[in-house]
Amino acid sequence: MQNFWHSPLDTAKRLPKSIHRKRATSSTFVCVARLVKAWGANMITTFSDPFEALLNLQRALDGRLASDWLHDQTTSQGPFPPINVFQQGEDILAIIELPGIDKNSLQVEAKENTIRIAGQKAIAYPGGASVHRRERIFGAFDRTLSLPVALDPEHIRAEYRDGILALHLPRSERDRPRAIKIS
Amino acid sequence: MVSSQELQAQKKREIAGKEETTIPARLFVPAADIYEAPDALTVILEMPGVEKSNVSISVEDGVLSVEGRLDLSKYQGLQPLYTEYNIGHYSRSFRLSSKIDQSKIAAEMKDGVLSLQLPKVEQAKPRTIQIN
Repeated sequence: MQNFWHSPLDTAKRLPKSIHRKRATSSTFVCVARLVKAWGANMITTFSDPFEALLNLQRALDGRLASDWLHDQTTSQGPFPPINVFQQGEDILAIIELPGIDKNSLQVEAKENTIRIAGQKAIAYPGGASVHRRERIFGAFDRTLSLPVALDPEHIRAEYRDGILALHLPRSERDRPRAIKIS
Repeated sequence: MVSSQELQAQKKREIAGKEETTIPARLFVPAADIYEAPDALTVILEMPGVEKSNVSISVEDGVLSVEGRLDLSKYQGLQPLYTEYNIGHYSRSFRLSSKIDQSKIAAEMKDGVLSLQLPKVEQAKPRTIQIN
């Protein structure tokens, strides 16, 4: 039985050297280290490959591409900036990819169940430079997102870090599910 | 410069390289701008969600490789409801010409945008020739 599983140390050894070198600092590697330690303590549970965490997440994101959760409530896919909506406990978390934006030029407005994200992405090329390649997009944008749940506009938090805008959208108190006592 | 046309999100380009990856996941090609000034070449790469500490830049055999790793721990416990883009690590490489001084490459990361300054070697800089 023991032979059926790869021993944890073997797993670590089987990883190509480049992984050791390149990803020594990555959290994925730390994950392996922890796993090895856990195995050492004779914890034999199902072996989930930490390197597959990303793939699983990508699959989950793909699976939602055809979701009709915001059905008819937002413009079809394509407008800038692209938005992903997640559920975090009872609340909603919208993650928007907006690299290289000046925080001051970004405007976020909330009203009941709609969120408006407007701003301007500016790219400046120094004078006299010749452009070889231009793939980044820039310009003004204005997008409104309507959610099928009522929000609590007082407690919405917006965070901009590393080119990602995260909007924490708590559900309004009256919209939260309540447990009903059966008498 | 503001275009009157509505901005469209770029579809993320996936890597279709010769080499296979060692992690079972998709990698994306960051959007890049390259422009040339008289004394240096500037490469700008967009890698939203990548922290400064998770970027590795290397020059080997005249190829500049940039890798940006996404911190997946932020996505733990989140359940996707509606998505318009996928996420993943970023990777892109460029072959450098001999005009570039490989020892003087400088990089800066801000708001998910990586700027690389590739200075030219002395001989490659333009010069005006005086006529006697």
